[in-house]
Amino acid sequence: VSQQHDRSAAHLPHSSADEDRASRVTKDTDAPLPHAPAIALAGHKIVETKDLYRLPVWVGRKVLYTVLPVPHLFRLARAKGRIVWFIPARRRRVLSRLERFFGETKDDADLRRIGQRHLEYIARRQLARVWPEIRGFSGHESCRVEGIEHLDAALAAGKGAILATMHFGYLGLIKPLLRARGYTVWFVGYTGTGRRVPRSTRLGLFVHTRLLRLPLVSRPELRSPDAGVFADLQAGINLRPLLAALNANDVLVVALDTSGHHARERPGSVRPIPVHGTNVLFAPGAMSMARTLDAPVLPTFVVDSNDGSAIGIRLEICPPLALRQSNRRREDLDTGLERFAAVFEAYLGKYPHLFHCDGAGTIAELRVGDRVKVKGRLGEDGIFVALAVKIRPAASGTRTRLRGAIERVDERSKVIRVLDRDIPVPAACRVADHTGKRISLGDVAVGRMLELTGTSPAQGRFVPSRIRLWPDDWDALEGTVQSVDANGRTFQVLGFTVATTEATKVKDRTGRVTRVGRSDDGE
Amino acid sequence: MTEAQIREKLRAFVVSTFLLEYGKDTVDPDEDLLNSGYIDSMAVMETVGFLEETLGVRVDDDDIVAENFRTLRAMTELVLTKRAGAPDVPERRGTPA
Repeated sequence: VSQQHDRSAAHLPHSSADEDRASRVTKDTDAPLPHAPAIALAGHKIVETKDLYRLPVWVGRKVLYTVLPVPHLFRLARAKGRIVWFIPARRRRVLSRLERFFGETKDDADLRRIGQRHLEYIARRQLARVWPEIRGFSGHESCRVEGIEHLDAALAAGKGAILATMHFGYLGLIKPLLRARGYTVWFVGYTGTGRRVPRSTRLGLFVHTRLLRLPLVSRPELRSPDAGVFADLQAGINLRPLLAALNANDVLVVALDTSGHHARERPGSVRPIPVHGTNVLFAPGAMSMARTLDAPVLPTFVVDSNDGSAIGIRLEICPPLALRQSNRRREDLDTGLERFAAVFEAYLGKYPHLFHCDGAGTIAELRVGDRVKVKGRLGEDGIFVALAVKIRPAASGTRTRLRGAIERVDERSKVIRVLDRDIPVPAACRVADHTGKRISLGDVAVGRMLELTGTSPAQGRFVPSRIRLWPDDWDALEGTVQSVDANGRTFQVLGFTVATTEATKVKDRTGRVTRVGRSDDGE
Repeated sequence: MTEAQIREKLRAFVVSTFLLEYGKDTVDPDEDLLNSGYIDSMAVMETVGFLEETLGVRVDDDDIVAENFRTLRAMTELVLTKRAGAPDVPERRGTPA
């Protein structure tokens, strides 16, 4: 494997730290999968009523995974998707989302056809996520891989390869399908674990994980590292492990549509590029690596296949993108991303039902009186910078919530400081840890994340009725919109001024039909 | 090397490597270079290489976080912190090719 550095990579760190990081990633694709890493279960219930139906479902699933050939499992999944289409609420929701994205480009009949296939795809995708863990990825050889010669040619140059993809199709199968064919592939994404405490009881976790040894995709903190969507290498600002992988002539799989974490760290660096007339946010990191190291970028997608194969899924690797190399970094990256977006647009046109549509909306949709959930970070200037906003109908409830790190506790006067606000805690307020176990205010250490649920009269102070420790590290607000400045892209909720950026993901659950990014164009 | 000298070396590197293409030949010490899009993750790695090779500091993985590379001032503070906590390592003369 060539370890030579490109001229333009002269400044790149290549110390023993690179190898250290690389060695932390196992190179043995045949290594047994680590199952069920240790997690803290302190405080978990031993058993609860829901176990009465959870456990039989898991046993049934285990039986199916054990005895049924994988093609039959995929047929069952498709049938499940077809049944879901007849659930009016699900059908309306998927059609609403598709209409947001495809809008004027598709008529009603097209949208219904796409919607039906989309629900089949959702069910098949759920199965595809756990498939690598079913009987040693049984049946993977029946999946065709097209364009493998492009990958071989790219690797022959010794600079590794970046398989650029999107949250589209069976993204999670790229890594396992290629690993099963002997390639060393790393999925780049958010590697964080333990973000959520497992909801199952101790009995449930024992049965699911230890006894039945079911695939763990449904629990991010427990799933196997070989699960397709599980990231091996952290996406973010530290590219050392990624560069080490490319230097080792390995293959990186990178979804170029931005993650929330990227947007949180560097909201100004994401690139909005129109796809079918809708702005999609792209992260430039992979293109930037490719530009500096002269590594090839190959658009890659796993799509439905109508070639009569048993499972009906195909991996397609496109020829490397022609990347621009000039002394203008930004323009080079933008050109690369635009070329990738053009390839993606063609795939989206061919397989519209494989789109991960998520109900995107815009800040322009907000109305005073709407209810919103906002996730982000309170800045030192007192402005709450939103990473994600969920808009809900005004009638969706009256719940008011704050989440943030506790800055001060005054147990004597029963006042806590969260999100730069002094909040009096009534005597009736229940304080609990993340499992629901009651604790006293004095047990809460400064710096811990708290969720406060309560009420907030129109102009009054927020009054919590319930406080609990919260495992996530996001600040969050939930309440009613008090004012909106669509031009300034800000709004007020719970007395906080919330600022949105191009990177803010806005999800609209109200059913209003809108398009991403149009508000800025005055449309 | 004084704080001012470190900042000047960093300023010269950042301007010549990342900002000139935008027609910028000055940079405020508190200007957010990440959020503005002038510096991306690869540019951060190039800056890390510059810090290690030219300023003689060892940048650990834990140091490569947005907060340390957001502004010229943050980068300078990172160098000062690393120098304060590490044995003297002579910096190289000039900028590597």
